[in-house]
Amino acid sequence: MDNLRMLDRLSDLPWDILDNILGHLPIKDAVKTSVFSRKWRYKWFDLSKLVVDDSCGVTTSMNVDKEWNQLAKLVYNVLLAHRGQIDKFILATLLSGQGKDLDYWIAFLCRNGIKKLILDLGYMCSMYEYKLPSSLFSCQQLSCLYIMHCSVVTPHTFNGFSNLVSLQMQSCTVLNGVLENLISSCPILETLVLSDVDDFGLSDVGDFGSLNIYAPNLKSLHVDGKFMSVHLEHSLLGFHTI
Amino acid sequence: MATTTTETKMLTLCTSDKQQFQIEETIALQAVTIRNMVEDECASNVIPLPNVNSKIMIQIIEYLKKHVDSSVSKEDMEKFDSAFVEKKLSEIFDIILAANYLNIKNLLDICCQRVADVMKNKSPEWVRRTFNIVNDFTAEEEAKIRKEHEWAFEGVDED
Repeated sequence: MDNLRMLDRLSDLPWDILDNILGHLPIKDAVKTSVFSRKWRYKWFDLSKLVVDDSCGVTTSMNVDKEWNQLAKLVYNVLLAHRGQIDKFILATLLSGQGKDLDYWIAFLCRNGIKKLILDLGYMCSMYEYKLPSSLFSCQQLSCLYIMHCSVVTPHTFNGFSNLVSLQMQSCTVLNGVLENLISSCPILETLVLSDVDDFGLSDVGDFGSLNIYAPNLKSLHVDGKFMSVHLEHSLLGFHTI
Repeated sequence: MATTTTETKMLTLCTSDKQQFQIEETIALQAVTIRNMVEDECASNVIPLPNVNSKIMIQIIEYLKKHVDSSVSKEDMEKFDSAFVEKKLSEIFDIILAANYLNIKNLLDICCQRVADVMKNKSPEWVRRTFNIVNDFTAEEEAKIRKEHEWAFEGVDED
């Protein structure tokens, strides 16, 4: 029994299981694994899922800019050191920072075939929402997009997200027409969540007009916020007016 | 779901220690590996599972029985899952390997999450002790790696 207890079962796990375990940790903890032993030295370089949250910044400092710089430096370091595919990237921060940094990361991730992108942001640029970069809208591998406190303006070249299955927008700003076009440009969309979506303050509360959703494969829908009514066209969910 | 037969179809699973388990097919088919075997008709009467012992199989069946029940609310299922993973790490590792072999994604995920929770915000020394990882770096080598990513080693929980 004592012998059994001394086994190092963690290090002996197959890589895909270790990747799963480390993917549940903020990147700070994943990087720490590099000193466990020689076997662990470069494991985090190959993670398929990166989780960046406020535990990655130096929270002892009262200087918000400095905290963002710390977090940004970490993300640049990780992206630079990383090898192989990054399937999922989660950024969850309440820090207000530089949208430019985020633009670079998203462009990098999209070039490398990101599949799931989760941006759980506070107000990035102090007073303003973070405007999603155009690089995101050309990312064809994207299957899951969850954005919070972002503003959405699709570029003219936007050709749809052919692989997007799940779209969740919370406290985001987007024009009604842009939103309708965005949704109808995702042919295999199954899950749609629109929570507290605003149109740059153009309409008063309760006067956001109606939203026409064209998503033939939709299986799950949640809408709350300013919309007067929501119409579902040609959906598996059938025709509803909410 | 409505079924045309009144009889519940049963499957027999045989573990590495030659114990046989008779369980309803709908419960067993949640394991993708078993489903594939049944669909490919490689499984005639008894499905051999040489990588899973009976002690672990009992726990996996408990998990599958709960998860096949569509009347359980999301909250109750989450409660069940978090209670389910309250086990010794050695058992969690056994279940991880079995869930990986049987291809039960959610079970694998909650067990991986459990291991991650143990490691979260802990010092490398603490993690090494907990998981019996032998540090084969020299003191100089370790100091050098720590220096590369100093920020990662700050502000960990007390051991």
